[in-house]
Amino acid sequence: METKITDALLTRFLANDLPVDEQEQVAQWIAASAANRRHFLELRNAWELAGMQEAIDQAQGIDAEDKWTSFRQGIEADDNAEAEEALSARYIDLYSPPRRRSWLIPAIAASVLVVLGLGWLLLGREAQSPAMVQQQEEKQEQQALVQSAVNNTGKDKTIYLPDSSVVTLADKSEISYQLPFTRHRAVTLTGKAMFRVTHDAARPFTVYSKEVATTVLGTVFTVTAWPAGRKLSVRLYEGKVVVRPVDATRTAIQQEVFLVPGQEFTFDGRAQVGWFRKKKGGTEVVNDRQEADNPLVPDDNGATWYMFNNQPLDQVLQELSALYNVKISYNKRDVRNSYFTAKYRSTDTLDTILERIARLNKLTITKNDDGYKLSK
Amino acid sequence: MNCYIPEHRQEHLHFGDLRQEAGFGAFFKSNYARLCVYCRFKYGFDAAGAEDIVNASFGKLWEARHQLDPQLPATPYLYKIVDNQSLNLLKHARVQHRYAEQVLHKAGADLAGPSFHSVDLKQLRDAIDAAIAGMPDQMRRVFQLSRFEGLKYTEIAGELAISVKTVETQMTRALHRLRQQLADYLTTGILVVSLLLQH
Repeated sequence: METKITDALLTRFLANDLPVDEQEQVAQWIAASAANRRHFLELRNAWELAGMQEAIDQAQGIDAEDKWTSFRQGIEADDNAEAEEALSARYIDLYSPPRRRSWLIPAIAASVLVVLGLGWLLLGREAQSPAMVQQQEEKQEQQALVQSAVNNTGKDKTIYLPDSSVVTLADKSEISYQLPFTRHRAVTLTGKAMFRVTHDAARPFTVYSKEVATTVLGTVFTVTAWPAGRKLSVRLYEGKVVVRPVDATRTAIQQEVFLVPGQEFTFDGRAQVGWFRKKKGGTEVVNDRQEADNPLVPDDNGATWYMFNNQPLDQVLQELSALYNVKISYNKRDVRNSYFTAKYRSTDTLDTILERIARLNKLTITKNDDGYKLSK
Repeated sequence: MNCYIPEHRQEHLHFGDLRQEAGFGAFFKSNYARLCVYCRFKYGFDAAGAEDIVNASFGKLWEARHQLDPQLPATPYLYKIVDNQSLNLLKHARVQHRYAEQVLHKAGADLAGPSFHSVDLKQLRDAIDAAIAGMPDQMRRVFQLSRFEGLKYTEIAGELAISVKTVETQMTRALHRLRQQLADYLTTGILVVSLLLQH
């Protein structure tokens, strides 16, 4: 049965006064030819424009000066972050020894006093879980506000976060996040959602979902984590993200995993196995050891590298000392107010690591019988 | 509307004028509100969504400003960024909202680029008001109940004690009338549509 598509019908379609089956017919008619589309668009534009008075009034009420001020603050923050990234990149050029190429463990900038915010310290049991960090921050920020959005509409729902990031929340899914986004942007997800994240190097954006935390380096990606499902997946469309365990002591995922666009990382919670998938076939096991652990380093949950993320130097030295079982002595005054961000593989010798730390902090290093001594 | 750059000058702004913060700021301020309306009209975003797109677009422009040929005009490029940002968002959002509306929102019913670039919002507002106010009484009432109150045809018929057929006729005529009277602001571009339908 063919219905003739008249302007009367198209008008009804725009006025949302048609039953679903007739909507389908109109839609098919519109898609059928360029002439049909043009004709429909003319009507659609008239319809939409007629309803724009309110939008125009609102727009005219916008204080452009105000908007410009906040935009300028945004670009200044970005420029600063870029300058800092450039600084740390230079550091790599100067000091980083040549490394064996490995796509899994890209070289990460090491630098002092630079918050790169790439992720959390991933140092086995010593690691502070994000949940704990969040709790502490909740205490600090008394007026912090936990916002949540639930979608039970039966279709995708778009949610705009205050940092301009856009979340497309699937049906029966929920996100919650804590405002204001001061130091980092943390979102907890149950279900499925796609994130389009506004780039902000100073405030990393992380999605917590079951065992996995995905930290964004400015990008579009989907996280699927149904409460009852065994599998959790992170699919990347654009940019770069890093996936890591929420609590390193509790899951088999021991490494950060970097995704490239088109790649999907799936983690089976029951089998405790993770794997990658490109759009077209081809799987690769993630927790395949990339290299033998250095026998000199205690096998810490099988991690093949360590990361210090803007930690006080004092703490870093203590951890290194424990890790390598070597005494490292230093004067607390010399390392006060120094912070350290770096990523090391367990194959790096303590000599190399300490040498780098010393260089960056203008400390002298002496090796003696029972360990190392750092001094001004 | 606050005008920071006279309209006739604005069309001749080039990328070279945007390299300094002051020049960029003037460009930002004189285009911001108009772009918000543009986004809402063309892609159906709400006020906050439109502002997000506009801010992100200016961000892109700011990042790229040194790479762009200083001799080339800036406004058309800015609109292109806004279009791309909006389309990307919609494409990724895969809004499952009324099949055809989705296609068409994506398609971006074109309010002619160049004619909108310099549109005066107050004039546009007046033109819309005049087009609606100029309708015969019954037509205007029918149209307003549908467009602004969201009533169904049957409800309008009940409210105004007329037949559904009359409502339908009046609505169709009202839309034709608007299309004619607002023609200066409305032009359709079909290019984007056909590109997107291939997906």
